This record gives sequence, structure tokens and C-alpha cells, in this order.
Amino acid sequence: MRTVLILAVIAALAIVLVVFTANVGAAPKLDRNQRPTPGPVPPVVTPRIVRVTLSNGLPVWVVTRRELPLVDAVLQIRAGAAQDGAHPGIAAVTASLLDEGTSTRSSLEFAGAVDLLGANLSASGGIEQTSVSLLTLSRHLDAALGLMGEMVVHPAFKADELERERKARLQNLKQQKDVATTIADKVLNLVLYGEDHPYGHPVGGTTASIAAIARDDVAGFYDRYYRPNNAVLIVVGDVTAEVLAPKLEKAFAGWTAGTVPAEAATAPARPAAKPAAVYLVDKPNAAQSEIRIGQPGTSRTADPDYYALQVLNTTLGGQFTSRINLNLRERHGYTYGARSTWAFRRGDGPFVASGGVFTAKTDSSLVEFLRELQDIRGSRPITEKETEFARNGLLRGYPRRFETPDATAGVLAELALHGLPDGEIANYLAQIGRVKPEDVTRVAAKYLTPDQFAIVVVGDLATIRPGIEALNLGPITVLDADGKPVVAQ
Amino acid sequence: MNLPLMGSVLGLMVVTAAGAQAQTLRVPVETFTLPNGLRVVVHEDHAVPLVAVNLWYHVGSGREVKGRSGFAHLFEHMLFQGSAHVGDDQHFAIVQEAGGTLNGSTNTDRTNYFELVPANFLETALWLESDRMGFLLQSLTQAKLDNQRDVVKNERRQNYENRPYGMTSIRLGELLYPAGHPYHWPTIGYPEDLTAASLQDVKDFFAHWYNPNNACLVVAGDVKAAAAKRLVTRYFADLPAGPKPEPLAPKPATLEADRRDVLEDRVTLPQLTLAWHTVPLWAPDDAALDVAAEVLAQGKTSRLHQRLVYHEQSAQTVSAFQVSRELAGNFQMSAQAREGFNLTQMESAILEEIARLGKDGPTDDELARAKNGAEARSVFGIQTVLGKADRINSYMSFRGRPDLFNEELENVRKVTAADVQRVVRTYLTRPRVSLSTVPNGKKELAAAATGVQP
Repeated sequence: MRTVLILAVIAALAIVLVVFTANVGAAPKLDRNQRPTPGPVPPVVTPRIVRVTLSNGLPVWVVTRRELPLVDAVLQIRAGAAQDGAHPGIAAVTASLLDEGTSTRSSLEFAGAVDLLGANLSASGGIEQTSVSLLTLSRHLDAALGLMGEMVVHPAFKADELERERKARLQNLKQQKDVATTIADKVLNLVLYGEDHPYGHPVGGTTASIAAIARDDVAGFYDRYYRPNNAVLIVVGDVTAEVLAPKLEKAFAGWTAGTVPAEAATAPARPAAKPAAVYLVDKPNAAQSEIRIGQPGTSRTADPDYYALQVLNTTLGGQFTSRINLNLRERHGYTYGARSTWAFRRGDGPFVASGGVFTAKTDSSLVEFLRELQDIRGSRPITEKETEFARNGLLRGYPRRFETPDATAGVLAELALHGLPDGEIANYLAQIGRVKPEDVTRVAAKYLTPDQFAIVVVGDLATIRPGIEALNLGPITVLDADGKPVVAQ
Repeated sequence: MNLPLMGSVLGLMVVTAAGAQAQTLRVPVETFTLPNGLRVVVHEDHAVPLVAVNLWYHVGSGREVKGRSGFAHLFEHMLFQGSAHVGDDQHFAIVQEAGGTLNGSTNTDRTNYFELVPANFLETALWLESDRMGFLLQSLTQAKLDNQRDVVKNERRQNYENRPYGMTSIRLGELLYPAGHPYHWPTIGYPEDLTAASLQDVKDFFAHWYNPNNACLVVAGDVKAAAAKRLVTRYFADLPAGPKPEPLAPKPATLEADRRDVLEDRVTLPQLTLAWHTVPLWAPDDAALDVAAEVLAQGKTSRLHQRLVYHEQSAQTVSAFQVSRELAGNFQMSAQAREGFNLTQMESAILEEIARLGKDGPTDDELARAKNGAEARSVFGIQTVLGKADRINSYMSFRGRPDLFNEELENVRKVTAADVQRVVRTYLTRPRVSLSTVPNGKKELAAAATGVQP
């Protein structure tokens, strides 16, 4: 029941088949004061990605791994909430409806067929992509790929299934207002980007937008974006490209290329900078306050500062031993865990520092969060030792990203989404290894600008508001759980 | 005849019995016991250059004494605060600088600690684990205890008090198990008991439970068994054995009559939770109860999902599962009623479906889906060395044998329709707990007792 904070960033790929020999010779007498010296670093072997293109234009990336008789496949379509346009939530609804009935099977028949294989098969809409994910025993591969193809190529989008989905989602949107963490995340996005920006609205839409989505909107979204030339299929596991290709031709037969709107591949613009401001949402009698401090960050695709930002975040709030967590949790005991994350997207995704803190310590927690965010910009810059500590963890932790087929596919999906070359895998290690303390301080000062922080607190306002006001962090606006201003009575 | 699908360099062998669809899971291990009583299991898996170190102490919240609920878990936190030769706050730092991950967890029956590190840092991980097994108290301070007490209270606030329906599981345990039963109080503890925990409690708990002869260590991953054995022996063999903990016998509990209760919470939808006493972990009916749960309310094709969520659209969610623990087990079902529907309807529908399953048993399709799902999950679940290590440790700690992967799967494969029918009739017709969690001030939404009998 402890929190492990792990770096929320993945980037590269390795498959290693190396037999490691432990570094033990003739054992001298044990001195427990001597920390053991690690053995030689296991060599990193980059994986072989075999690429084929189906006759309909779908690119397929295959990595063969034989440890277990299973296959993991992820079809990544370049369209998500960022493409919702006038219908917030439509990417998510479209993805949800893929397995709710096809041209040949009802929703329940389809679910029964998947369950009979014991496979996991599901689709979900993200921010810049939609993923259809399959995990199956290899001996059911043909049938499982058949079902995957069926939901992607022949979804029925039946009106009654849309109504069912709508009802469940509307109910869930109400339930989300029970959850302080969800409110805080949604409100922060809204105040950072505004509701008209591709990153500003919730992936799941709003009550009004979900109520308004029509069957034709869903079919239209599907027709525009669900195209083999707007997708990549990543397969990792107990199969080769040669064996796979004919199976995929069959499974995805009938799926045709189309002209995809150009904005699907374009980075959204950075929103205009806003001065620091505080946004409060009332949660009467809440035992904790959920704090979010954020601002638009930077993009994955174009920014050479990406690597220095990895080292920065590892030190600032990316893991248990980061400054933010050691301060708020281990020094002060205000929280069960506090952290910071960067969402590296095609455009400038958000930087967010966050944590749930004891209600009575809400103002003190804000002070400590802001102290850490300010100090690392220069007054208490990252040290040589901290830099080495972060670099070591990032470099040595590299093989963990490829332990499972699913994790490996996730790394490849990231490369595909951002159009990064295979060489990025090796480049990442080289770049991280070169990051110096002055690089980190420079990017901290460049990307963390406290005079533009949006500060969101969801908690028991009767208790916490006076303390927050006394901090003078900026103009205070009270919002409801949807992020709409609350008019004073 | 068995046909190996892969070479022995790989960590898990899955062999296919000729002429049958079923696969046999084998996780090859070497097992030994140090003179101080520490049991050790090594599993080689050279697919990725990682090693998992997974250490279980056979003590959980069920061993706590009155007035000290939550102590086993609070104690777990103290093990991350440094030990005599490691230094304050260094445990996390050393593993994270090695590129590893680490954590610990506490439940009613056991406490586990684990690291996943690059293979060349195995010795470092063993040094860390052995130091806190042998030399924790030398670096213990009141300030560390006070800090972690605050952290744990925040954990309770975050995961229970401030979470919708978060207090339901705590109340359920209190209703289902009588006062004094080891599963009556919550593992997270009561706030006043956390406040009362003292430095002396930490010392006593350590001396009583944290001994090599009450622990089991699994090393799994990219290491040769001989090397692992040498290193484990080097770091753990000189730690002294402690008192042999008295074993706990299974402690079945019963309800004389239905217990109904209402909990108010800051929630939009009311939720009904039902619970029945069943059987503990590894008992003969455990697997059949798992299948019953799947048929009743797991996944889209389950009976209650089809009925309440899909057709009636009266429920937002339904679920069912058998909770298999060391001393006693229970079967839980739960449903959230959508606006316009109530928990009385939920309870009636659940009881009707239980009655129908007891009367007619599952269909062939339902049974096949449950078994195929169990088989696939048994392979999906061992993709990580840490996942494998934790399961090996569960087998060792509760059954004294390391490789029960296949037995666990076979237990599901052997379940017949008649078994499902029998366990439903035997256990789910017993008196039950019916707990309604309703929006604040809306007690009228609670489930009312009806005449429906399962």
C-alpha cells in the first residue's frame, strides 16, 4: 500500500538475450557497511522491428518474442479527443462502439466470441490517438485477429447501442463529480487551454456534448479517421511478420484508404500565456485537498530539450526520491504522495505538479510545492550529484520498458505517433547520458514559469480558503465541478 | 507426450499435451532453506536482463492486537526508512539510482517487499533486504515513526475517506466478521489506533514477526541459480532465527441471520454490496466459486451484466468475486443503481440470478468461457518476473510448495457445471450481509428486505 512514483515517460526499445553472471568471486568476509559494487552492465541489444505494409496501405511493425505463447497487438489510429472538433467526446464514443456490434454479430455475440478465446480485446480513445488493443494466446491468434479486424473494419454503430452508450456515459459524467482527483484534472485542463483548444476538453466529453452526439456524427468521425493510411499496427510476441502478413490481409480485408483531414497530423497551437491564477472547487467536508499546479509544457516531436526535461522531472517530481515527494511526504507528512509529470504530445501538452494533501495542511502544502518549483529554476539548482543520480536511474532502468510485449508495443506506439526514427532508441540513451546540471537549470527556468502557473485546489473551501487567500498567489476564482464560474449568492 | 515449445533458457515452459488443447504451465525453480529457517526459491528467466527480489513475511493485519489496528501496514512503511548499514532515506534512493522499482504491500495475511532491478544489481537488492531484516531497529527513531504515521493517515484519507464508496469495504468487514475475528478490522487501521502506535510497538512487532524463519524469499530473473544461492547465503545466513510464530488455524465465521446496514457517503449513485461466508484460499470449492462469480457478474456476457446493465439499463455497474484469504473466504457481489432505479431492485435481481444458477447450473458456453479465460490469464499473468516471483511466494507461504501454477489452473479446469450449482446452493443461500451505500441524507434509497430467496 505504498505509492511508487515512476517516470511517466517512455521512449525506446530493447530486447536482450544475455546470460548474466553474478559478480561473485571467492567471497571475502561480509562487511555490511560496504554497499555491493554492481556487476558489469548487461549489454543492450536493440530489437529488430520488421515492417510490412498490407495491400490496403496499413503499415505493420512486428517484433518477434518467443518467451511466452502469446501475442500482443495494438492498432493505433491517429485521431483522438484532439480531433473531436464540435463534438467533444466523439473520439471516445466512436472507439467504445467498435465492439458493440458489427455487421455480422450483435454486441453480446461479439463479447461472447472474445471471451471464448480468453483474449483481451478493447478499444479506447485517447487524446491524440485511438488504440485497439489485443492480447491473446498464440494458438488463438487467427480467431483473435479476425475479431480485431471485424470491429475495426465492420462496426455497425447501431442506434440502440449508441443510446446505451450515451446513457452509461451521462451517468458516469455525473459520477465523476464525486471524485476529487477527476474534477481537479478536468478543471486544470480547461483553465490551461480553454474549451475550444484541442487539449482543453475532457476526453469523455461533457454532458451537453454527449447528449447531442448523433449516429451520423459517429459514422462520420469513423469514416474520416479510421483509415489504414492513418494508422499503424504494432505486433509483439510469438509470431513472425511472414506468418502474420497473410492473416492480417484476411482480418483487415475491406478496409480502404481515404483522404484524412490534414489537422490530424498537425500540432495544436500553444495557448496564449495567462498570468498566475488560483481556481477553487468546493468539496464540502473533504478529508484531503487535491492540488494541481500546471502550465502548458512542450512538445515531444520538435523539442531538443526533451532529454534535459527527463532529468529535470526525475529530480523534481518524477519518482519517490524526487524533491517534491521527499519534501511533502517524507519531510512534512502532508500527503501520501506528490509528483510532477509532463505530457509530451504533438503540441505543448501540460506540465502538472499534483498531490492529495491533508485538508488542514493545504496552504502549507501549496507553499512547499511552489518552493520546489521555484528553487530548481536557479536559487537551489540541480546539483552534479542529483544529475548523476537521475541519469543513472534513467539509463539503468531502460530495459524495464521492454519487459513485456505490451510494454514494448507501447514504446513503439510512441515512436509511431510522433514519427520518430528507430534510431531514437539509441539516441535517447546517448542524449540522457550527456545531460549536464546547467542544461537542467536552463530548461527549468525556461519551462517552469511561476508567474504563469494555474493553481487548482479541490477541497473543503470553508476550511482551506482563508489560508489560500493569505498566500496571495493570484486572483481567485471559484468554479464548479465542470469548471464553470460559481456566481456568489 | 509433451512437446516443449521453447528452450530451457526461457523462464516459463508451456508445453502442449498432444491431442489436447490444454497447456501445462511449468515454472522451473530451485528451493532451499538456510539454517536460520529462511526459505528461498530461485527461478531463472533470462529473457530480459532484470531480476526480481520478492520477500514475504507471514504476518498481516490479522495478527494485530486490540487497539493497534493498522499496525502491520504502518510497520511496513518503517521498513523503507533505512536500516543500520543503509542509512536514512537511502533504501528508495539506492534502488531508484540502480534503475529499479520497489514497493511493499500489506494485507490481512502477509506483508511483502519487492524490488525489480537490472540483473547486475541483484547483490545490492539482497544487501538492502537483508539489512532491514537483520538491522532495522538500530536506525529507528521517533521522528521517523511520527512522519510515517502522518503518511499512513494520508493514505487512509486518500484511499478510503476521500474516495467515493471508500468506507464501504471497511464497514463490510465489520459486519461480516465478528469482533475479535482477524478480518473484522481494516488493514489500513483506525485513526485512533494509528495515533496510539509507539516505538515500543515497532520493536516488539519486529522481534516477533520479522525473522528469517517467518519469511520466504524469491529471486526470479536473469541470474544463475547457483549464483543466486551463493549471494542469498552470503547476506542472509548470519541473521539469527527468532521465535517460531504460532500458526493460525483457519477460522471460519458464520452469520446467524442476515445483517443489513446503510452507510451514507458523498456519492451520486447508491451502491449495494452483498457478502456471504464461503471458503478460504485453496479450499476445494474455491475455484468453483471463482467460476460462479464469472458467470454471475464478470464481464459483458455475465448474467447480471446482461440483465441489469445491458437489457434493463438499471445498473451502472455489477460485479462479483470470491475473496480467497488464508483463514476464511467470502463471496461479494455489488451493483450501482442508476437514477430512477433502487437498490431493492438490485438485490432482488441478484438473488433471482443466484437462485437460477443454483437451480439450472451454468451453460456449456459459460463454463467454457470461464475456463478459457482462466487459462489465458494464467499465461498473461506471468509476463513479468515480479509477477511470477510474487505468485511463487504466495504458493510457498500458504502451501509450502513453489510451483503451483499448473495446479491452480487445473483446479479451474476440473470445475463441472454440477460443482458451480452446488457451491451456489451451498454458500450463496446462507445468511448474508446486505450493505447499502447511499448519497448523504438519502437513507430511503437503501435496499429493503424482500421475500426473494436465493
